[in-house]
Amino acid sequence: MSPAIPVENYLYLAIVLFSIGAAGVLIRRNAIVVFMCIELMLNAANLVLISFARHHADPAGHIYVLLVMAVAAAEVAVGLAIMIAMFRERKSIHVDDLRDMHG
Amino acid sequence: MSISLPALEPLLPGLLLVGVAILLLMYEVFAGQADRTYAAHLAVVGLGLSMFLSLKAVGTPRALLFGTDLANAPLIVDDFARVASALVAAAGLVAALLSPSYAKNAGHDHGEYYGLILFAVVGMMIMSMAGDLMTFFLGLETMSIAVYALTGLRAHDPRSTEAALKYFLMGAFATGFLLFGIALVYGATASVSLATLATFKAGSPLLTLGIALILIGFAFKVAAVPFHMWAPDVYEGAPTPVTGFMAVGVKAAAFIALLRLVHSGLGVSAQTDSTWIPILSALAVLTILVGNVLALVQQNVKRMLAYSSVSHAGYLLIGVVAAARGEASAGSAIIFYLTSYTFMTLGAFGVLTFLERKEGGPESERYGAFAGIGFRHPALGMAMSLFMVALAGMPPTGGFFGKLYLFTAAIRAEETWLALVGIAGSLISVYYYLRVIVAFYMREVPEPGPTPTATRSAQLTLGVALAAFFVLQLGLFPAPLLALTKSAMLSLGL
Amino acid sequence: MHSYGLLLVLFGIAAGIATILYAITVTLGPRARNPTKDEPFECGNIVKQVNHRVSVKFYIVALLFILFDMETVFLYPWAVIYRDLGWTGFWAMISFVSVLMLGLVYVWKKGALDWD
Repeated sequence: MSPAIPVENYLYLAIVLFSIGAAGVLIRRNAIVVFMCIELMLNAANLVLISFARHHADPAGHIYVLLVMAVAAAEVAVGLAIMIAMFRERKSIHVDDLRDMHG
Repeated sequence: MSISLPALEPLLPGLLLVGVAILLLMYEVFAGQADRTYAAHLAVVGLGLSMFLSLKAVGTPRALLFGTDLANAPLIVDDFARVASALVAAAGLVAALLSPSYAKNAGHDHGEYYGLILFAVVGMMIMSMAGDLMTFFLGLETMSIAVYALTGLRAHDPRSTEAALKYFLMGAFATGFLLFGIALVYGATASVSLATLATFKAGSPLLTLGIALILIGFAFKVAAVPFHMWAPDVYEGAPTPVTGFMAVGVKAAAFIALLRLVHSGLGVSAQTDSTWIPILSALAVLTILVGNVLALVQQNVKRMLAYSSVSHAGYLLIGVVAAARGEASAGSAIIFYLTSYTFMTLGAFGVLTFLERKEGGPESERYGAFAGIGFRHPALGMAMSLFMVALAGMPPTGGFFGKLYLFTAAIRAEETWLALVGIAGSLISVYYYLRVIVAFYMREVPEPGPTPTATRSAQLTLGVALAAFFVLQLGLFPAPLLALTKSAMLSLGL
Repeated sequence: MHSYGLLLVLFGIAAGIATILYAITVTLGPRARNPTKDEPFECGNIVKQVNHRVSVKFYIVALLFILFDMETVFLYPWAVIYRDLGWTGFWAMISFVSVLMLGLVYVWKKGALDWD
């Protein structure tokens, strides 16, 4: 059995994932892709939770991940419903088209 | 750890609302009627009862749910949580009163609307009771998801769906920061409990980064500059009563939770002083200045109120800085301010709801559209003037005492310069609040062309009257509420 | 570590061969473009537009599926230790599932599951 991968490595991976997600939110223009980037950020958080749950030998961390996943699913449902309403209204989900209001 | 039914009694105000909300949904699909005013009435009764139950329990000992001590109880029902629960229930109550006539005009008269308001209020209550960051996260999401849906309810109005999508994407983005911060704190302390967090000394980069990300998440939720970009569009596009509810409820819940985080989690120790005070101060100053200056240049009253709500978040952040400095009176000042802010803002949005025209559109929300309203509808004019005077922080209104307590607390915490920035911001704000009164009274009604006519609705009248009553009540007799907020802060151990 | 090194060599060789073969076809192969050749080939099927509209009902049912599917995630950890949780755990799960049930009843009565 090879020695365990240190928890730091998971942490760095999570930070990279989180940064990719955050950068994607700021760069991408399609609402669905933006939302996928946000999901990437949430999953980076899940990775931190699960690897530290293992590191601290604390089962609570595993449950937190399940909670986050359930909450994220509820968020997806509402978000996609909003996007469908938006698409019906103006046949586009590009955030650049969100220009009805300004001032 | 066994849970018997009586042990759940402290949660009764929240459970009651969940029950009413489910009842509303079931009634909607099994026996729905075309006119949903009954749903509004049911929601108002439920919220009133829940508020009464919360306030009745104030003064009784703290209850820890599903745990034995502060370090492992996810829900802490103390006087702080009870006062906060009553406040958010009051916000939901007034918002529900403002809704029926607007919903009928805008064509989104659904029974689910009131169910969503109730679920959002329950989420806010959970945020105020949360003893650990994960429970706080669940409360925040319960609230946020309900409010996203409320924002987009006018599905046939492009402004409403646009606002909903913007709010949803920015809110979910903020959630990402918050959750990653919580995960890092969990990594650093092996627990998400606030009490455990308080025992850790600053210095670990993991912990510092975690708390910083959590604070960014908060800043997004309360629309603090530079995380405020979404607020004006979302406030403009959402249905007016929902905008009012969002402006007060979400803000109140976020600040209440932030207050508990600062007091119970960051431990009001050297840790808060050294690391967070400069950052929070900078946020407060930026928020006050940018919020007020941008409010000055708005031509749309709803957008002006949005930027004004940004600047109010700035004043409240001054209170948070003072609280982090260990100033005992800052917490009660924040709760007092939030309460008076709740009533004056909901009142102002209530008056706008009165004047909303069926065809709607941004044109009906410009200053010019309100010309001469004060003469045509004297009661509405008086009410709007009262709310504007209160928002500007002038006596004899609750807004005056809110600012007075907040800035006094800042001076006591030796943050005099922050108090001065706050006062300067308030002086700027007088201009744009008075501009509304000017539009109401000093302009002649344009002879040809349409003049808005006020909607007649008993619920709306009651909502605005209630808001006006409390704004005046808090301005003339602030002592009872102040006593309540002090007992709330005492229960946090101050 | 040694065996991982070998794996890396394998990946390297595979990538190298693929690159070389691709380079050869690109540089040496004759190119004659015509519209028929540019069409994607799918076993004789007429290829549809990728972005053709799907009934909106599909999205609603899919969203509802995700929601109810995700909630069952809490049943697994509960099932592992439900003996230890005793009646508390039993009633907690009963209340959780009943709320979920009411949600299903709501969705059903609302007509979100009717396909036509």
